[in-house]
Amino acid sequence: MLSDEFEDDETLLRAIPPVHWLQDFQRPSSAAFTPTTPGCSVDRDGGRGPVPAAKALSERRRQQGKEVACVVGIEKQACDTIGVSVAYAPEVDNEYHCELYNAPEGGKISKTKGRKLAETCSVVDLSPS
Amino acid sequence: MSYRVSTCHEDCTIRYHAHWVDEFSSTGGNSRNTAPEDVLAKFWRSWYRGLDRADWDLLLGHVSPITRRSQKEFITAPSEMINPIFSSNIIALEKLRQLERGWDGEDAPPINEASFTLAKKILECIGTKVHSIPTSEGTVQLEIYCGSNSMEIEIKESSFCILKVVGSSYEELEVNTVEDVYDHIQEIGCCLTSSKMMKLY
Repeated sequence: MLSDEFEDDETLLRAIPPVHWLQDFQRPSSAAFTPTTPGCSVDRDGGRGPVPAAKALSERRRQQGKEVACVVGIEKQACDTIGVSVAYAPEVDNEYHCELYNAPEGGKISKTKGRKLAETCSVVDLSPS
Repeated sequence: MSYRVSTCHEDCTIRYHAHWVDEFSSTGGNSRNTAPEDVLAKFWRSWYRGLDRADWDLLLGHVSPITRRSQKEFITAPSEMINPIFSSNIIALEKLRQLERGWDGEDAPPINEASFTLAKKILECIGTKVHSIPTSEGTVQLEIYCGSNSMEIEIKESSFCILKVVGSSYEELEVNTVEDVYDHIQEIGCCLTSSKMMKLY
């Protein structure tokens, strides 16, 4: 079990489906950070390092038959600057799972914050396809 | 004239100029005497020639049966009758129809028809490249970029949720009519084109 505290430089990773990748701008659309559920699922690197963690996430998604354009990462500190809250939410099969919320009390990420996340994140693992 | 139309459209103008420079270089300068309209017409014809069968079928779904033509006729048609910006935007939007439940890797529904229909109506009047993005709510989000300004329009069944970015300022608003959306599009500096100009025929 990992600590529910985050270091400022810990990277949070999100798998981006191809339809949310803006090729012209080499970044995801803001829509990639506003999923159906209030919380936006991400994986924390949890001491693994951003690249191995991104590869693990990418591989897990592919094994589930889900298409991935790339995995992007954003540091916890950048989330704080944007005003997005990070909550540790481990799952039975994924101890690194976390969720991003619009505010400490929860809520779906707003359009403005989604856009800022999309513009701030960077590609950590590019799909071999 | 198509040339005049294309100057309103940043994306196509850039591609047109890139093509013209190539043409100029490959002919050793002889194309200096070629009318811009001729070079442009050649470019558009080439664009339509490059469409594969699947994209062509998607595009034809947006042309009335009366004006429907074969791909060959588009390739040889006068450039005034062809508008690749509208065509490429429509093809990108149409591809979203193919998304099935769970396309986002979670539980996102397919795109709903109402959102799709309104998105098409907006695209008919936009004279620049538009990114059509599906949202996990089953709606379409149109993203328009115009220099340092941009706009994201999420099309819901009875309203439009807009994020307007002007320079470094972000504004979220909700409007209820397509006409209001047009007003905001113009405010970010994107030119609107009359729907007649944007139609294929």
